[in-house]
Amino acid sequence: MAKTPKSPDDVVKNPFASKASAASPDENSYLFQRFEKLAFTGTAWSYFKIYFINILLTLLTLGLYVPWARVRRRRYFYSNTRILGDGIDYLATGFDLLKGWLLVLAGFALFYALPFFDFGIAYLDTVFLIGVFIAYPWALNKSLQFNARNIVWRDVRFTWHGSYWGVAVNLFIAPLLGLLTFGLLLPLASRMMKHYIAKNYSFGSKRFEITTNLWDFYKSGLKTLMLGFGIVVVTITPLGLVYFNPNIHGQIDMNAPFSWTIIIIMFQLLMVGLFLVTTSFYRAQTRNLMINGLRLDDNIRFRSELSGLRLAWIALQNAVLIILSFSLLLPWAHIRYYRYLTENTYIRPYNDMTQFIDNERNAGHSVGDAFSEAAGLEITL
Amino acid sequence: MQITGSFTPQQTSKRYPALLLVDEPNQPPDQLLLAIDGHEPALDAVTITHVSAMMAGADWRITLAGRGVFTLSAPDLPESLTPFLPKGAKRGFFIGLAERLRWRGMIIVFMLILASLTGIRMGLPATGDYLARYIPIHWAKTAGDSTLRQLDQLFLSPSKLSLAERRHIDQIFASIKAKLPPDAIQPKLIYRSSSFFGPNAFALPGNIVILLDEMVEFADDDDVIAGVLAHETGHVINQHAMRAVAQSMVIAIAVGLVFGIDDSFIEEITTLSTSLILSNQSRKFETEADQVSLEILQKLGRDPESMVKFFDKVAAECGEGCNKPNFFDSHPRLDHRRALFE
Repeated sequence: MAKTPKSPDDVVKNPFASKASAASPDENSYLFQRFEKLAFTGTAWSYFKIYFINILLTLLTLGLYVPWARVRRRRYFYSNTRILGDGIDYLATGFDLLKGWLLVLAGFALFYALPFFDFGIAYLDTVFLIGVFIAYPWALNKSLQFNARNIVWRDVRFTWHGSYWGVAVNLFIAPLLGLLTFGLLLPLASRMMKHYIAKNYSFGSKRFEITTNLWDFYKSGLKTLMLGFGIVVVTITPLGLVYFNPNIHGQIDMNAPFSWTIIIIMFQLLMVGLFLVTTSFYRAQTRNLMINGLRLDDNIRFRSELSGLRLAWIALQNAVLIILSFSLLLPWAHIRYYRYLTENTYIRPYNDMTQFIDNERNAGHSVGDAFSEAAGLEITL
Repeated sequence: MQITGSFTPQQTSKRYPALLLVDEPNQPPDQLLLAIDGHEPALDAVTITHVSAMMAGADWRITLAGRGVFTLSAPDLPESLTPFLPKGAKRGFFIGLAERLRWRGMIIVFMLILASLTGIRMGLPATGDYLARYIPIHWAKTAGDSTLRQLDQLFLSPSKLSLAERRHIDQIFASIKAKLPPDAIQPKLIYRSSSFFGPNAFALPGNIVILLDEMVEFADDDDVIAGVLAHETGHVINQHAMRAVAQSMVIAIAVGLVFGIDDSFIEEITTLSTSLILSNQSRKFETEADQVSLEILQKLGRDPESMVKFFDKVAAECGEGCNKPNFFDSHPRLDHRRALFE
C-alpha cells in the first residue's frame, strides 16, 4: 500500500494553532465606520535618490532606461500611499512600457523624416498632425486602461471602462468648450470630466459611483474668479500707482530697453503666478467635490479636505524653489505636493474591505500609455 | 525561522496575519511553509513565483503559486528566503540598492550626471554631422525644394532684377564656382525678392543659394556680392544646411528620449540648452562660411576690404544691438566677422 504523504501539519507545528484566531470582520466592523486618513510614507530624500538615479541611468543608456524610470517613479508614489495600512502597488514592468515607448519613438522618427519624402501628397505633415490629434483620446483611454490594470491594492486591481468617444467628449471636447466660452462652461466641463473618470473606474468587480451638484462646481468657479481678480487688483494697483504718479513717473525712463525688460519679466511672472494659484485653487475645490461625492460598493465613502489656498501656496512655493535650485529641489517639491493631496484624503470603509474580488487578468498594452506620457497627458490622484 | 507578514488570497482583498516558515524544527530544509491565521489550509507548502523589486518605503510583494500574495514590511528580504526565490528575482534589486546611496554616493551620482551631460553635449553635434553624411542627395534635394516652395508661398516673390543684372551676377557666381575644388558640391543660384527678409542671401538644403534683390541693392558693389555669394557657397560645400537639420533632429530626439522621464523644469532647461547648442553650431557654420568667402575672394583677386565696408554698413543700419553678444544668436558678432576680412 502506498504511503500517504505527510501534511505539513503532521510535521511542523502551526504557530497560530495555539493562539485564538483573529476576530472575524463582523465583530470588528464598528472600527471601520469612521473616516481613515490615507497615509503617505515617502520622504523627499528617498525620492531624491530615485529621481536622480533615474536621470543618470537614462543618460547612460541614451534614453533606453526611460520606461524603467517611469515604473520606478510611479511605483514609488503608489507603494508609499497606504490605505488602511496597506500600500497600493504598481505592477507594470519596464519591459511592458518599453514596447509602447519604442512605437512612440518610431512615430517621432517618422514625424521628423516625413519632410524628406516627396510622396506627391499635399499637406502630408498636416495630415500626420491631424492623425496624432485624433489619436489623443484613444491614447489617453488606453493609458487609463493599462495603468488601472496595473494598480493593485491587496490583490485586487482597478479597471478602466472608458471608451474612445467617452474620453473624446468628456476629457477633450468638454474642456475645450469650457475654454472657448471664456470659462462660462468650464465648471460644467469639470463636472463632466470628474463624473466620467469616477464612473468608469472599478475596483475589482465593483464600480465607483458619484453624485455631485452642478451649482457647487459653479460656486468653485466663481470663488476662483474672485481670487484671480483679487490677486490682479492687489498686484496691479501698486504698479498703476507708481506708473501714474507724476513724481515717480518722470524718474523712470520708459524708453530705456532695460526698464521694459524688467516690466515684461515682472508681467510674465505675475501671469505665471496667477495661473499657478488659480488653477491650483480650482483643482483643490473640484477635487474635493469629486472625492466627497464618490462611493464604492454603496457604503464605502471618501472625503477630501484640501484647502484651495494652501494648495495654491504649495504650488507657488514649489515653483519658486524649483527655479531657484535649478531643479535640485524638484523631488522635494513633488513629495510635498503629493503628501498634501494624500494626507487630506480620507476613506470610510464599511467593513474591513475584504469583500472585493477581481475577475479580470488582462492588463492591456502600453502603447497608449507611452503616447499620452509623450503628449503630457496623465490623470493622477 | 518565522517571517511575519500578511496573506491575501489570489484576486481578493481579504487579508490575514500570516507567517512564512523556513528551517523550523522538523521542517525539511528545501521546504517553504505558509501559516495563515483564520484561513484554510492553515499550514501549507508554497512556492514563490515572483517578488516585487526593491523600493524605498514599499512592502515586499511575494506572489505564491496558486495561492495569493504574502506581504512583508521590511527594508530587506530575509536572507533565509533566498533559496526559495525564483531565478533572476534578485536581478532587479540592483537599482533598489543604488537608490539607498548616502550623501557621498549621491555626490558621485551628480558628478556622473554632469559627465554624461557633457559627453552628450559634445557628442550630439558630431552624431548629427555623421548622420548628415548618410542622408541621400535626393532627400536633401526634396527637402530644399519643399522649403523653397514654402518660402515662395509665404515670404518670397520673383526677382525684379533685369536680365543684364542677373547675367552679370551669374558671371560672378561662375567665377566663384571655378575656384572650388574639382570634387566640391556645385551650388545653384536663384534670384528672389523679399521685403520680409530685407537685404539677405541664404543657402538651403539641396545646394540652393538664394540671392535677394534687396541684398544686391544694399551691397551695390561686385566685390561684396562676390563675398556674399562665396559665403553662401561656403555653406553649400560644407553641407551646413543638412548638417543643421540632422543635428537639430538628433538633439530633439535625444531631448525627447532623455527627458521624457518627467514633465519638469529640467525639460525646460534642456530645451534652453538645445537652443544654445544649435546657436553655437550655427555660429561655427557662419565662421566657416566666412573663411571660405575670404579664401575665394583672395583667389579671385577681389578686395576683402569691401566686406569690411559692407559689415560697417550693416552695423550702421542696425545700430549697437548687432554687436551685443548673445548666446542665442545664429550669427557671430559683426565686429568678429569684420575682423576676419581685415
